[in-house]
This record gives sequence, structure tokens and C-alpha cells, in this order.
Amino acid sequence: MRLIRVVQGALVAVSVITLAMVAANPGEGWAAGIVVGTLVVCPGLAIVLLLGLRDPMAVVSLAVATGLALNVGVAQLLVYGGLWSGRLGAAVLMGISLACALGPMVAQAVPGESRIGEGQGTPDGGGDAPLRRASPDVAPSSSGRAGAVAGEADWR
Amino acid sequence: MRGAVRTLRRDRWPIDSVVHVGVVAIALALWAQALASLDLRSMNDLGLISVLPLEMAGAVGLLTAGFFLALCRRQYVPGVLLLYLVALVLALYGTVVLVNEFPRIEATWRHVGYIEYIMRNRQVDPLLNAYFNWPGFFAAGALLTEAAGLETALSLARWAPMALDLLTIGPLLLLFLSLSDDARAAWAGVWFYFVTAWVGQDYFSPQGWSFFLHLVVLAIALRWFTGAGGALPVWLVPPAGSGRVASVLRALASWAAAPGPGAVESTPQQRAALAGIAILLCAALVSSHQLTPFITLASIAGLVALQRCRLGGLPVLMSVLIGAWLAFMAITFMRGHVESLLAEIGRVDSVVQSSVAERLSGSPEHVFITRFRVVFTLAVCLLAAAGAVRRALQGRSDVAAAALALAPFIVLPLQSYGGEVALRVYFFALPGIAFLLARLFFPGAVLDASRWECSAAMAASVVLTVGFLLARYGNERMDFFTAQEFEAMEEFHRLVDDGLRRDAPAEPQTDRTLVLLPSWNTPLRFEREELYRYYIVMAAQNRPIAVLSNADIETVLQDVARTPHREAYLISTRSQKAHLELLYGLAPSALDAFTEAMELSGAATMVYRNRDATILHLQALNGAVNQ
Repeated sequence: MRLIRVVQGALVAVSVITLAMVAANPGEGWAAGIVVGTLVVCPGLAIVLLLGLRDPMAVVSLAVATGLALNVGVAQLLVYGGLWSGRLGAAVLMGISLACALGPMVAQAVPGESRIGEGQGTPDGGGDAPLRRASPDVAPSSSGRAGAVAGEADWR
Repeated sequence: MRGAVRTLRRDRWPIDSVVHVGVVAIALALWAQALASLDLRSMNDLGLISVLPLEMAGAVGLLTAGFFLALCRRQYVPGVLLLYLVALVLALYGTVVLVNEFPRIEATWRHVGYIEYIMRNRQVDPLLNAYFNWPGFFAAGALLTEAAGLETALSLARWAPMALDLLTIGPLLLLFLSLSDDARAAWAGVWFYFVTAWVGQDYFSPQGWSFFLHLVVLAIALRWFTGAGGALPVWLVPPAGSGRVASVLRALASWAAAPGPGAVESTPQQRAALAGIAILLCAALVSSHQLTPFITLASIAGLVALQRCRLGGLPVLMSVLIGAWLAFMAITFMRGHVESLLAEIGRVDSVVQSSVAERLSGSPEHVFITRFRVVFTLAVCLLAAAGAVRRALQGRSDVAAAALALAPFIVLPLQSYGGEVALRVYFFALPGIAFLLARLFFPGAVLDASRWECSAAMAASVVLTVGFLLARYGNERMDFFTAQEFEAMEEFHRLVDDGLRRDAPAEPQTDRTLVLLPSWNTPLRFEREELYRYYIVMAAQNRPIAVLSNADIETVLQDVARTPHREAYLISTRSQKAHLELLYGLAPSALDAFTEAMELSGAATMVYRNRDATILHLQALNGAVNQ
């Protein structure tokens, strides 16, 4: 939970920095790579974090896929809408990233607001539903049978 | 609590995990050594395997042994397995990315050219190119390239394959973990996927990008919306009776109805959001690639029909999205091609002919590689079938995996897809196939794998990896491009730059520069793709190999003279030569002789030459052939 908040805070910072880099026209080299990576990952990650998933592999895969899909959607809207500009597209994507990362922080300040993953969460009040199989036919490794040593719930 | 966390962390990385990290480090060091001594220019027509240093074999051997030893431990460590997978992907897929300074495969350069078109013209033209009827990938590529301040997408295109392959680990693992009651089979399935994915569609392309989205959609469908089976779908209820057919049908129905793993727990809000993400991904798929959405639709529909997925509305919604896109956004393409598309339906013989038989030509080594690919593909499919049978004999089934392996075959009788449909079917079926293959060695919920099974899996992986290197990189001699070739192409663009009206999207045919290429395999079309007119000897001549072998420049010049243009250039490159020798059996010196004959004829003047490329200006035709 705290980690998610930290990542959301980092997303806000990275989005703002990326916007500044795009405005400065980074060109060839590492700066260009960072901008591309940020535009692909950040919008999707900001959205996926709202789901409250705890499996890092799921979060990363969904974040990148969602980010790519948003890139496709925004780019096509600009092309078909006759508004083509790569920088405008980057601004829209970073706007999505900022809105989704800032949203929970704003919501937290407003009493009564809750995230998508809350409501049926773990007893410790974390609000994240545990990622265990609903099916009873899977034996947990803690019973002494072989299996993944750790991260069992996330990797099974 | 803190103590428990510390214990967990110690358990997570027991001492032998440190040994495994060391093994991976040694393997990567060997791989780096192999990269340093790899000389692509010495390659023969067997491809990359003909120049791979022994260190590479050592690296892959260490990774294989280490992975299966780590996997077969009573308590394996997921982090260690992931480390091995990442190292394997780097070694098998990253090698050609790192040793090449430029993107591989000619189609990549064309895709970069389509992106450059959007950046330059700020629009797409569906009439200009079929790709622009599904421009999602190219528009997104243009957005990223322009926002990053890059002039072209070449650097994106170079690194994209490795990034995509590394990213593929995630959804594959999620998907396989959702299919399995034994996580070992899932990990082994991902490993087997990467040592059998010889159809190289992971380059900078709409299909490579779409395949990743396709996998994530499947992972969402099976991980959070799994229908656990256990009851027969209405349409699968077997007929009553005591005949042999009825009993076989009953056995099949019983196999299909066997319960599978359940979904991971989630809240209704999470499921609603995940369904929304799945719809977003489907929309991106539909606008980015012609074929992938149909495979995704078939796969999800199959899972829903077999009660393995509860997202029953997704296939319906996806059908609507596909139909709407074809009817409105891709109407330009559909108007011109609907008859030919419909004519191909049901012509399985021509599909097989174009996908397999027509590829059995070229140099002797290449013919061997082509035949080997067929054998390798069949062997992988047979191993997967054996895995399914072994599970069935144990009274278990992998219905969802079988559905994923079989669903792509639905397009086989529908389209030849330019002679590539068999390759694409294998490409899309491979996740299901790889999982079933892993089931051959890790068949059950018995969480202890026997030594025999581990050794067999390791041996199979070694054999498959050798086969993978042969099948996947068999065309490498024509697939890579050198710095000298790139320099020549840049010089060509500079040469004709003054004459091009770059802001004019559609110049008259007579006002374009004609580029004469013996073969299309040239890294030329990464910019101003639509501003040139192309005359490709291999496509324009009835007997192109005879024309090139006999240095029959008269025939070519007559054709060129009949083609409206402003001025003409002949470009001859190393990669064209490799392509013609590899796929058409052209003699090694024939293309050089053809180029030299053109130069000596007086019809052309050499304007640029380096080690790997020659550019001739066909000055004798200049102006005289304007029509």
C-alpha cells in the first residue's frame, strides 16, 4: 500500500520531468530512450496501480500493454482528427499519467473515497484483495509439499 | 512480524540460489565473449549457427542445465527461474540485436519509412499503402519518435525486438500460471516457448506489437475470469448409445469437461477495471493489425465455448469492433481486395503450396534449412500432443491450453496471407503448444518432478535450442544490414534530395525518381518511401534469375525505359546479393557481374561505391524516357 503510494508519487515526478524533456527536444541518446520508455510505461502503470493488484508481474505486463494501447489510441485520435503533433500526444499521455497518479492522492484527502481494490480487502485493512486461487484444488506450499519458496500467492 | 519477513527473505534466496546467480553470471560472461568474436560476414547459408562461437554453446548449455536443476528442486525460487529466463532471452534473442548496429529484416526499414511518412505528412493515406488502413502501430511509433526528438524510428526499431521478447516473459508466465495446477509446468512452458519460437515475428512490426497485446488479453481472460469447467457445455453433451463413436465422443466430452484451475481472487471493481483494460487492448489490436484480432477473437471464443472463460461478452464486442473497423476505417482496402480475399476461402491446397512448397527453393543449404523448419515445427507439435496425451492418460486435461493451441488454425482455410499463414498459425499457436510440451515432462499436480523427467526436459531443451538456432536464424545472411549499406542509402537519399518536392505528398508518376533494385532486400525505404518509384527485377521480370545470371541489361533497360520516371538509379547491395543467392540460388558472382555490365555498357555512371553497395545513375535514360 505504501509502496503503491511511493510509485504514484514517483509517477507524478517522472511525468512532469518527461514533459519538460519533450519540450526540450531530447534527440538521439539516452534521453530519447528515457522519453520513449516513460511514454510507454507511465500512463499504463498509473492506471493499473488504481486496481490495487499485488502481483508485480501482472502489474508490469498490464502497465506496458495498457500504455501501448493508450499510445495507439491517442496517436490515432491525433492523426484522424487532423491534429497531429507528437508533442501534443506526449502531453496527453503524461496528462493521463498525472491524473491517474494524482487522483488517489486527492481522493485520500477527501473522506469517503475509495480505490477500486478496496471494499473486500484483506483483514489488515490494506484494501488489496489477496491474489490466491479461488479453486480449492491447489495446495498451498506451506503444507510442506514442494513448490515456490516465497511469493506463492503471486506466482502460482 | 519483522522477524517473519526476515525469515521469508532468507528462504527466498537460500544459499544454492547464490550458486545459481553465479551460474547465470558465468553464462552471461561466456555470451559476452561470444558476442565479441562473432563475425557475421563469415556466415554461410546455414545462417547464424555457422559462425556462432563455442562460448555461445557453453552459455546456453549452462543456462539450460541451471534452469532445470533450479526448477526441479523440491523448493524452487521464482526469482532464480526468472533470472534464467531473462538470461536465455538475452542470449537467444539479444545476440543479433547487439552485434548489429542497425535493425535487421528489410520489412523493419519499411515500417520505419511508414512512421516517417506520418511524421512528415501528419496524416495517413489508406490509398497509398494497405498498412495505413490499420495504422495504430505506425501512428504510435510516430508519436514516440517525434516526442523523443528522433529524426527516424531506426533506433527504436533496433532495440524493439529485445524489449518485446523480454516483455513477453510476463504475460506468458501469467497465462501459463493460469493454465496450470503445477507452477513448474508454467515455468518450463515459458522456457520451451523461447526455445521453439523460431518464426521471427518479434521485429519492429504491427504483428510483433500486437502479439504482446494478444497475450495480455489472454492472460486477463484466464487469470481473472477463468471458468473452472467441471460441467459439460450444452453443445458438447455426448450422444447416448453404446457404439464406438459414441464412446469416443463421451471420452472427449469428459476430457473437455475436466475441471481446471480457478481464477485468482479479485473484487468486482477489479474485475470490472480489468475487463475495461481487456476491451482497450482489443480496440488497439483491431486498429493495429489485420490478422491478430481474428486470432484473439477465436481464442477467447473457444475458451468461452469450453466454459474456461467467463468473459462471454468479449468475443461479441470484439466482433463488433472488427466489423466496424473493416466497414468504416479499412473500407479503402476492403473495396479493392474483398473479392480476392473471398476467393481464397477454402483453398487449403494453395495455402499449403504457398506457405510450404514454394519456399523449398534456393541454395542447397537454404533448402535444407527450409525442410528442417518443417520437421522442427512438426516435432514441436508432436511433443506437445504427447504432453496432452500423457495428461489424458493420467485422467487430467489441459482444455484451455489445447484451445489456445488449436484456435489459430481457424485462419488456415480462410487466407494464405501472402503465403505466410502457416507460419503465422504456428506463431500464434505456440503459447498453447509450448505449455502442452512442458506437460510432457511436468504432467501433474504431483509437485515433485522425478530425476528422469528433469533430465528428459533438459535434454529436450538442448536439442530444441540447437534446432531453434538453425530454424530461426537460417536466413540471417540476408536479414542483417551493414553500416556500409546504410551509408550508401543515406548517400542515395542525399543525391536525389534536391530533386524531391518533399512537401508534396502525391507527385505525378512521371516526376518521380526511379530506383532499380535487383531484389527488394535493401535498407532503403526508411524515409521518403512514397516519393520514389521502384523497379524490382525479381518482381518485374518473368525469368529474373536468367536476366541477372546472364547480365541481360538490355531487357532491364527496355523495361525501365517504358516506365515513366524523371531519372533512374540502380542500387546493388550485399544484402540483395545474399537474398538472391539464398532464396533463388543465384551464383555468388552473378549480381556483381550484372552491375558491372550495366556500368560498362555506357548506360550508367557509378556515383557511389563502398564495400557493400554500388549506386549507378542511369544517365543514358535521363530525360529521354520521360512520358
